[in-house]
Amino acid sequence: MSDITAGAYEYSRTPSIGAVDNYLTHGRTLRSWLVTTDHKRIGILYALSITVFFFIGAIAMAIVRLDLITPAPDLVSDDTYNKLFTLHGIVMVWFFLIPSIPATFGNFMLPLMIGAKDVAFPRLNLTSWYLFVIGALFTIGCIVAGGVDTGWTFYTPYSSQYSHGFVIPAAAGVFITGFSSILTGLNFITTIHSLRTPGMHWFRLPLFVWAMYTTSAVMILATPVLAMTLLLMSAERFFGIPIFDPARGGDPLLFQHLFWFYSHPAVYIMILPAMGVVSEIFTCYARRRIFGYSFMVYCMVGIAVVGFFVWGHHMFVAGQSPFANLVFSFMSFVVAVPSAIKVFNWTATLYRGQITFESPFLYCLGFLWLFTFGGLTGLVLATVPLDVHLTDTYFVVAHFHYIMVGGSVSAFFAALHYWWPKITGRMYDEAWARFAAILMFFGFNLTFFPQFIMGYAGMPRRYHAYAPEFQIFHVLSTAGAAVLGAAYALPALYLLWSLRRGERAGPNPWCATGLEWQTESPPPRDNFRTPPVVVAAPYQYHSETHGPDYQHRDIERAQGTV
Amino acid sequence: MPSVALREPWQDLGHQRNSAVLGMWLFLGTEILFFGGIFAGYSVYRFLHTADFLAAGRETNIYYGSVNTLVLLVSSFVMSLGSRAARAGLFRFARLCFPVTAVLGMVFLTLKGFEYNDDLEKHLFPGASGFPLPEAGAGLFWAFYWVATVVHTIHLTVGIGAVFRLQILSRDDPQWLNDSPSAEVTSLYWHFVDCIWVFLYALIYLPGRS
Amino acid sequence: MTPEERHRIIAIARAPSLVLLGLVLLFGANLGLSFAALGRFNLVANLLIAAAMVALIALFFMELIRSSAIHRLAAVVGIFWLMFFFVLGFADYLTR
Ligand SMILES: [Cu+2]
Repeated sequence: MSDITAGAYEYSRTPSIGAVDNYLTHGRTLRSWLVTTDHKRIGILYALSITVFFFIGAIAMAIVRLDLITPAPDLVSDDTYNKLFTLHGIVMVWFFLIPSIPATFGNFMLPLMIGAKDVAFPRLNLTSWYLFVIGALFTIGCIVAGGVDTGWTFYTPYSSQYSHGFVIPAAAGVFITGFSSILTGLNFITTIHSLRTPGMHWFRLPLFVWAMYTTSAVMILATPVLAMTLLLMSAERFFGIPIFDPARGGDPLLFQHLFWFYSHPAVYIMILPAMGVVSEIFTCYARRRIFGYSFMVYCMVGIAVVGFFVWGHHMFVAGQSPFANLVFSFMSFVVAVPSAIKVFNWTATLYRGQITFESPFLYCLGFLWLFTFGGLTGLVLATVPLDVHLTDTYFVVAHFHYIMVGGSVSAFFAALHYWWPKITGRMYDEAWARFAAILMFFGFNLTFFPQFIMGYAGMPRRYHAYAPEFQIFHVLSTAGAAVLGAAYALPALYLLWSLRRGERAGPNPWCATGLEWQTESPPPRDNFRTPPVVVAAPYQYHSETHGPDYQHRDIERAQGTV
Repeated sequence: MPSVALREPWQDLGHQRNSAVLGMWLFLGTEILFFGGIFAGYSVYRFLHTADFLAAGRETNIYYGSVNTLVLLVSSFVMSLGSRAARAGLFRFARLCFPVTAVLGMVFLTLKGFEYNDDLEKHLFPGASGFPLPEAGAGLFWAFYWVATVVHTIHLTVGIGAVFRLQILSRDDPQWLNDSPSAEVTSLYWHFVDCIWVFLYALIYLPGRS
Repeated sequence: MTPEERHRIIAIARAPSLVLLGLVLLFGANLGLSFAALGRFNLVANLLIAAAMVALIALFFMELIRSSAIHRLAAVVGIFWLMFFFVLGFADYLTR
């Protein structure tokens, strides 16, 4: 079936899955979960927490979208409206998207994929989750106390001097959660350096592991700057000391420089893991090796580094110097190159592949389209004269939702469906899953494509009331949001159903090559009964000398060898 | 019998030590960028308000600043003796160095407290009324003075706690100092906090003296 | 303390003592130079001396001088990224 490890042979002789101890049966009390240092359980703790936040953020936006059906500001007050979109932004960025793939699937899969027993610092890993929870409590406290209305960007001087919202608790929540992602990042990097199984050379790492490595580097290097920025803003607000206040010699643009030094790379914290997921899934369902493995690695490293040189494209109209605009515009074009190479390489991977359209693959196809479209519109915004026209319109909103929701969230759902059998040991209903994947693609486009058009026509973002000619776009967008909501809710139903009724998955239901498939589903507490040894590069879906049809899983299934 | 210092998921102490040291260096990388926000803001404002910053820097208390710098340099020296001694198996000497390091840290905090008191008596807190310096940039300088030194002080306090932790955990089992990476990692953190101070000293106390 | 122990302690303390001496001298130079009227070069001198002190601490107290390449890389990467901020940030402030 697979020739990647010596350990592969070992597990096939272990008894039936239900009979053996696994990480889920290894302690059944609530306490055993709350004090666990098992990376797999911590991944699940994260998954449950961010699911809660995903729904909080979604509900906030559902109310906003309902309000926007009519041009008049009728459903909620102006103040509430501001608080709702701020809440949506803060929660979705820091409490869903940033931890989404790294803290859940990264935590669960990274040690498995490199053949390790756990991450380098298991107790620190648990600490990270608790920091996340403490940050989350601050944010929930802020919502309960009355909310905050600055927008997720906390721009000064509004946030530090004028806002009446609970700015400091919200910033404290983000600050603390930031340390959770810093610690996760340093844990992952140390793990990848120190705990690779024998034979797992750097250029044999699955691309998802490279994605985690580069993401972690961005987390470590960008997040502390955000932490200090929020600290300075909070100090100005709380103590009244001059820091960004233009009336006392300060420069509000300094806040923006510092803020976007984190917040542009933060986009890559969201998208690099998605790229890793897509590389795993495309190869598996096309039965193809990845096209240009080493280029894929260099591109991710390039994105992670050059991603730090482009932050000023958020400040083209803010008063930045024309020279700086030029530099940041140029760098923003440069950073698109590695992303484009990756898109071409994925496409080339699919070429002549033996593709089967399982749900993870469908989600990834959605990713490919939406990410490409989001990336291209990013180039539009990176062009200074066009940005002067489009800045702070719905065009920007549509652009970054194509990247973050169309890209990252699609990949999150792809990862969820791909690794669900590994995590739970159960298969979900494939027909429903395909339906949800297709529904999500259409719901997404219906929500956000009209926003490109109305943004280009001049509809500003964050406005509560708007001119009547934009109504049709808002109605379409709200209708799309309803479809999208259904597409998000569906997996919750059939995945939960699969936990009780789903067919048992077996160790490797997709005939995939990664090490995580060489152990039982769900994996045992220590991941591997026999430490695996790696003898070849990843994605050996067809041999060096034969075409991809050589080992087709349908053929294998027909022969009963799976 | 394996040492109590050996933790999951490691199989030998050397591997564990190397990884823990790598983890600490990565954390210090994060810390550089955390303080980097302060250094960046300070630099921008010093560039925009050069003369004001020199005038404001003159108002800092160079005596406290200089003595404190010396105290921290000596503390770093003692800390490095401690971690070298722990590695060489000279546990009694190491367990002498750690408390001395921590006490020097506390001397720094005490002097800093006196200095803050003086600053407040001179109304050198730019958020409150009565701030005596008229220049626009002076308020910014002093805002950064307070944020930077308070954040540094918090780091130093954490460092003192970490050094005491070494002392407590090695009380019954001095060999732990050698087996565990804690001594080396703590010392890295301690030295880093001193490095930050060396730069803060040059940026806060030295401008505008000539 | 046995004489043998004393010898070993002295052997350990030799290098750090020299480094401390260097640090104190550099500190004195920094303090002294800040009182000399060098104009804008006061800042340059202060920062260069501070950087030299930090280099001494990093190389000898933090023992980067005998560290593996990966530890050194981790040590300098933060400084590099901070430089990115300075270069691109000042690309704005210097040209406004
Ligand atoms: Cu950006």
